[in-house]
Amino acid sequence: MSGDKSLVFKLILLSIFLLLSSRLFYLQIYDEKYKKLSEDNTIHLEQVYPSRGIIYDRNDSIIVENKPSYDFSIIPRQFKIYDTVKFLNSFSISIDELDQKIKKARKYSLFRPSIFYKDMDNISFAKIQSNLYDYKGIFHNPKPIRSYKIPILSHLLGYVSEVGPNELSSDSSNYYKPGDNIGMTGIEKYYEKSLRGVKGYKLKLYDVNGISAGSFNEGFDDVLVSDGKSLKLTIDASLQIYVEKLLEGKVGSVVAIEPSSGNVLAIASSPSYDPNLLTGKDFSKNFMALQKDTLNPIYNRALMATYPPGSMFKLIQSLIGLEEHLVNYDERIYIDNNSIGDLAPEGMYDLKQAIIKSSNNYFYKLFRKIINQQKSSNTFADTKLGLNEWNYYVRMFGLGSKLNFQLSSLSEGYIPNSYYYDNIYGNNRWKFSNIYSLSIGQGELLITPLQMANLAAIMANRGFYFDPNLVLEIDNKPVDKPKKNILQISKPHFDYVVDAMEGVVTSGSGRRGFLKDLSLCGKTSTVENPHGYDHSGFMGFAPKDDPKIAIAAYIENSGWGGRAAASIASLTAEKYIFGNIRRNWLEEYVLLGDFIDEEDHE
Amino acid sequence: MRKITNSFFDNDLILTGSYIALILIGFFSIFSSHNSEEYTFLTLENESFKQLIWILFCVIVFFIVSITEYRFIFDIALPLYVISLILLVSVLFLGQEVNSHSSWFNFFGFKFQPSEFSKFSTALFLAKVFDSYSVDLKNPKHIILTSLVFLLPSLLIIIQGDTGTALVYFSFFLVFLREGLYLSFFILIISIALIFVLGLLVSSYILYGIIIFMFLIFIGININNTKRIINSIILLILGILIINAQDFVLNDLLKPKQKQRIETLINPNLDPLGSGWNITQSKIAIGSGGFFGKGFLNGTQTALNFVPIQSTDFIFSVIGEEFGYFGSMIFIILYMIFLHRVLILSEMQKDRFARVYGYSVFSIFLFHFTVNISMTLGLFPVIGIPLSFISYGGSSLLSFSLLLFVFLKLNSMRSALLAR
Repeated sequence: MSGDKSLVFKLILLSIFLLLSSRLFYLQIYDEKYKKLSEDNTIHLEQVYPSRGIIYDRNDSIIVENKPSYDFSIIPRQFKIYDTVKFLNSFSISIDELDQKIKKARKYSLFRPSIFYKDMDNISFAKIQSNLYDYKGIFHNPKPIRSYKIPILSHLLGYVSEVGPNELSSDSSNYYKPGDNIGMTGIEKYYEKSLRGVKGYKLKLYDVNGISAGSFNEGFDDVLVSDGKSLKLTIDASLQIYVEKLLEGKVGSVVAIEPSSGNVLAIASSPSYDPNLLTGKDFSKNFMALQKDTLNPIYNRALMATYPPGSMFKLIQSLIGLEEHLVNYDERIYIDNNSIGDLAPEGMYDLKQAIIKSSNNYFYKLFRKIINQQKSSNTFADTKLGLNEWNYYVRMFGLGSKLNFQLSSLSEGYIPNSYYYDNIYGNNRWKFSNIYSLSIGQGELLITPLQMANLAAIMANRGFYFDPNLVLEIDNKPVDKPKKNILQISKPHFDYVVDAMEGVVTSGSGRRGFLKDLSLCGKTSTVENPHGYDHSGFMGFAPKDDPKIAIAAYIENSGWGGRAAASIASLTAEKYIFGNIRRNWLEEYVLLGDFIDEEDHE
Repeated sequence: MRKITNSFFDNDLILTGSYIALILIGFFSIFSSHNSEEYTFLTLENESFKQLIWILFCVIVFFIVSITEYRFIFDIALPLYVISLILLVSVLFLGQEVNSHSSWFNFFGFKFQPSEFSKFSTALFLAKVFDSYSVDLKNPKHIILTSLVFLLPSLLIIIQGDTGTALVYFSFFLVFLREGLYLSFFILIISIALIFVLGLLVSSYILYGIIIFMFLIFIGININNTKRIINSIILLILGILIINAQDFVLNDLLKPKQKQRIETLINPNLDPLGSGWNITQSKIAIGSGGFFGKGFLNGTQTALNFVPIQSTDFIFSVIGEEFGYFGSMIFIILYMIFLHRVLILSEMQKDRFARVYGYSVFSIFLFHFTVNISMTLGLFPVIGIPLSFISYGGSSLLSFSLLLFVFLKLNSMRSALLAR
């Protein structure tokens, strides 16, 4: 190591040079194999689409499965047909359309395959299969698409369609390629990664004319496709079918939850659509039509629509009043009907009777006590304090914010606080007289049907709820149990209010929902609505002891809560608990859907 | 011969000339890799057009570097090094994830990779450390402390998930060899790496056998020298430990993707459509070039996009296919001239700062060249590092050019320094 210190490095350079040049010599001159492999230009990489995961209900009945369909791609440089008419007939396209398609494909690439025709169903494919050999440069690829045996649950399941530019650019894992399918909404979107499976690849040999000559290396090098994982939902398909049947012809929604677990048993929004419409090659056409429909059948009312809760909100007011010691179980007060419109008679009321008879004036007075607790001598400041305290309580019931649910397209609803009224009236410019309609669940309050059902579950559990949950198992493995949320309101208060809820059904406004051994507890809502007839609402659970199901039903413009909503909820409970319906007259009444007595409204 | 003043023409013409030639080859290769019939060149969608913009940008950087002072370059080494460390840390939190590496910043559509830039700042700072602290590589403490200069950024890059780029920093060991590291110590490190790689190829029992056999021979030769026997016992234990560690690293430390890349190299048929697909298709493309190649823009394999990521990591497959053995050899010889010239000029530097920097530049380019070409020829695992000056990519082109420009600048001031 003397003299030139760079000698070692020169030797390193020399050896690298010798290594690379000899390797190049071997690859490019000596070994003929590679030349041959490339000259034939024969190996095509073909995608094999996995079947999306099957979706089951809680009793293992299939809700969503797959059926075969075929995509065709074209390689413009290899494209050659001998009988144009036959070709056009095979795909039922015109010569102009063919020209367009070829032009578009050429624009993309001469050598690479572009999509030529999508989603050909099984039967059409069988008809043209024998001709395919004559069409050079046209390749077909089976691609399973969704199929729904029983067309239910369309809103919740969501739909699957071809990836668009947005999905492609936000796909950091580079999994998707144009032509692939992806879950766009609902469960299909949320569980996309589990449901989609893993695409496989096949190496296929093609001769110079682009005619398939079998698998390369006898399929040894293919990547096996792996099908999507199955999902087992919490939904009870037979209950879901029944609920959707009850909702036919009405606008509204029903949500049923198992209180002891948070598992959603049924969730329906009406009007609905047949999920089969959004599969296959008529997807775009049908999707446009559904979007243009004025009744908005794509809209998932159960999760997205927000309504004033109406009288069912009196249960929350009662619990807040009890927890704040503003009212006692047996305390009776005289109620005159001077403050607010009322259907309940004047007279002596305790809290239980006030709930059963749904006395608006009673809750006007109770809400005033909640809001104005004289914590500040200034009326305005006192109202502000009281409202924010009230807001804190109401939020414990899962209202005013998104419930922790698998589907993200969820409304928060709205529970007003002091900022809201400050914005409307100005700071210290509003007091109880401006906000009293909140006392009976009207005014600025907004909640979703899912939140109503969750409220019913809170009542059923006497003071706690589980995050609503949709999935029991993924790939036959149970998922984590939903989180338990406990309200800071003591249980005896709930027991007291539940007794009142029982009274609502046995002797109050919910009588139509009464069934002897069902022991349904609930509360009706008849919600004033500037756009037409009142909304009809009901939330409740059954049976009273050891509740199995908590339900909310909310039917738009159908009048009294004791009619449409209470009947639907009661039938839903009966169906779930007994498996069959004994009150055929009630079922007929609901299916007929004529809930409004003209006499009730002038 | 050299004048005291320096101007553009003082730059070494062989080096500048080969650099320009390489840049042009790179541009045309990228152009060819994206060649298709309906072709619009003048859009930012087009990689070769983007590359042209970056090349123009390099020209600007060249003139900026050529008016800087020696003292300035010397002084800026530490701040630049600190800045690049900060960038490497912050890219972990603010960066964009590309191919599961979180190593990119995105500025208005132009992506920037701090790990590319930090090769330059690390080289500069390493040179400064050697010069300022009179590092003596006979002293183990010095070896460890100086190594930290490149181990630190390397570690940060490993955290980003870009092991390929992190490995580049280990090429700085070559600089250590030049600056007085014992050859035996260097060979020791290389053999550790070698045992490691061999462990992938053959069963560990065979390795144990070889090591014990060598140990016995060594003992036999040095039977009378106690110190050497103790040393060889230590080496034996070390060897056995490495064989075991290799298993641990392979199965627990490396990400599945990296492990797969190593395994596929040994047997491409294990994963014929993942990493194996890259290697196989690259070999087919190059191998089909024959002696004279298929001609510019006439490559079928690359035009059909059989070779993935061909404008970046597998750009050499375009050259190999379109220009054949003849063209590839010219290209490799050109690159060799370039590397050799950097080496010669580095050795000619009179002060340690410029020499260490020159050797750093040499080591980085040597590593990139050797590993990248070996990758495309199926001689080395696909670790995803670009071919300097040829591969598509703005931040890599710019930082490689900057690396070279500063060296050109230091070299042109060589005689001026003597007069100082």
